[in-house]
Amino acid sequence: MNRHELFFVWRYLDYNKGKSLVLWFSLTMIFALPMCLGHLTRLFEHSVRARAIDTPLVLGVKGNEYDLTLHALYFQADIQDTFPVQEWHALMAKNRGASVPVALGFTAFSRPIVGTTLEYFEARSMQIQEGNTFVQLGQCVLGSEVAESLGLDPGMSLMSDAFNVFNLAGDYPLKMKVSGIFKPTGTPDDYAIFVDLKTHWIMDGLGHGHESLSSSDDQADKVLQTKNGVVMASASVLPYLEINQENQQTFHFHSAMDELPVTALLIWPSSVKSETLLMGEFNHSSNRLQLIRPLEVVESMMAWVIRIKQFMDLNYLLIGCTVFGMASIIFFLSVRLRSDEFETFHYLGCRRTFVSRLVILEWGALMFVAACFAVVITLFADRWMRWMLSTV
Amino acid sequence: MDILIENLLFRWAYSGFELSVPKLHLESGVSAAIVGPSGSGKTTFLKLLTGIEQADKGDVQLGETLLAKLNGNQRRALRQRSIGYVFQDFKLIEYLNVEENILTPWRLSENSGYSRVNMKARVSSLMDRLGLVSLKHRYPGKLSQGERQRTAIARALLLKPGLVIADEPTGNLDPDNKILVRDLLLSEITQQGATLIMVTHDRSLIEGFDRVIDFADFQSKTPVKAKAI
Repeated sequence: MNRHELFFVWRYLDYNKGKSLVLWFSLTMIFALPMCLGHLTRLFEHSVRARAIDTPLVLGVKGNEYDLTLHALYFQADIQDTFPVQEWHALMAKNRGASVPVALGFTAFSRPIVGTTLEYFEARSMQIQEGNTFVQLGQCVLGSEVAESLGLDPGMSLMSDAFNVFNLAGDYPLKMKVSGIFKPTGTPDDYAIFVDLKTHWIMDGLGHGHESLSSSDDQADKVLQTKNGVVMASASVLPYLEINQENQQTFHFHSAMDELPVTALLIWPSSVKSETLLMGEFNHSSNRLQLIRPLEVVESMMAWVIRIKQFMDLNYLLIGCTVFGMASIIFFLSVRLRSDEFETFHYLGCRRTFVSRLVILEWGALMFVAACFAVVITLFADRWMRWMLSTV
Repeated sequence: MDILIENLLFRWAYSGFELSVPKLHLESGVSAAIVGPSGSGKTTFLKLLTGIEQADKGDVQLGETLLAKLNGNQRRALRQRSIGYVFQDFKLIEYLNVEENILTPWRLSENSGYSRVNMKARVSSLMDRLGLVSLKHRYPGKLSQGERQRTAIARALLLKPGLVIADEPTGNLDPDNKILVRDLLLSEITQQGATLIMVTHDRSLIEGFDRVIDFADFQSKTPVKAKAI
């Protein structure tokens, strides 16, 4: 191969732009689709399995295991059924390992708000990049992607999304103050907003803060009745939408703290024996809770993914064969059409192999460029998939 | 380039067609027109001269070189180095513009010894002489027949070959262009000191050639010596 041969190849491909582009596109797709699928499947499997391996057990209300796994590990899939946080306290008392409660159900700018405790960050080895973790009600810590995409820094605020604008007596959006930002982890944690469990319960309307009724001048309008020391306020008493130094003392809960809800418990048993005991304790028919091993759930999910991939592989193989057949026809027709040109080269003193080299180079160039683009497409797909895996 | 042919015999196996040339000598710098009806073996004769086909008997000597003693690669190299070819149907490369088409022999020759700068200057000079300067960026599809043939002539002359072979170069041209192309071939090749062999059907074009070789008597299966007039 020399520069003159490359010159002829380039001029031919350039002159026949339409044909070259169609061939290039077809070849790119044939290379890119299986490459992307294979790569994405491996990435998906690796990422999903890694998160599941990092979380040996998840406790939640009985129901769909997939939903519970997606909910507790990837902050997806709404779970309506909750269980009281006292289950966590009881579990801690048994001393069978570490556990962290998780409560989900709200969003801010469509990013999930995760109510949890500081132990969560320790268990997930999350490190603060800027600021601090939450130390008081109403504060939140942002995953790296949330901070970057929303342009938020510690000290700034963000509102939780309105859950139901037509429910006047319901929960109000809460203005949260950013106390810190985590370093990127490449997991769904990067796309989440973390608050203390109590802050989450306040968003849920289970706790609130409002002006003191006893000091109010127009108390008569705001208090409906007082019975046995229990004050019943009217709807004109609006709850605070932001928690700050001045009003945080007024925040309170109207139920026992042990009864407040969580949606899942992440458990790291201290030993195999502890794990076995826990499985025995929770997984019996009379218990309304279920303890699942996320890895088993993920692997059964992956079995489906692999089956779909095999089907798609077969599909691509058939399409590839068809494209190869069509490309071969184009190749042979092109060689026939160019016989006069090749004959000219021979008359001008070229080796016969020159013509073969030229044709091989033309196809080689198309395939090379197609393969390069396929790699680029796979890299983009990789970025997209990593983003998807972090958010899904 | 001197051309000497002795006792040349070539036979097409599938048709039984035979070409026999007992003796032909063309001195260097001579211009010769080959005339004769279709099928009389003119193109075959050119192929034998250029080593594209090999004679069954006898030999062709180009300068000091006996073609029969050369292998395929050596004949190809000789064609590349010493012979320019002008075709009836021009045989320009459709995806190269005029300038690039003229440069093709240089791009194809492995050891032409010419630098790119030299070749560019040579192409400019040829285009200037053949009236192609304003067409240098045009593709063959956008040229008239006469312009295409002028491009083909420039291509044949690029590497200053000792022998230029023109196989009915005026066959596809109108009468005015026929005369123009013939005159261009004669003037350019005379100026270069090369030998010119031009095949033509048209006897009106033989004027100006030093030699005329008539293939009119040539018949299939009946070897007849080519007649020089």
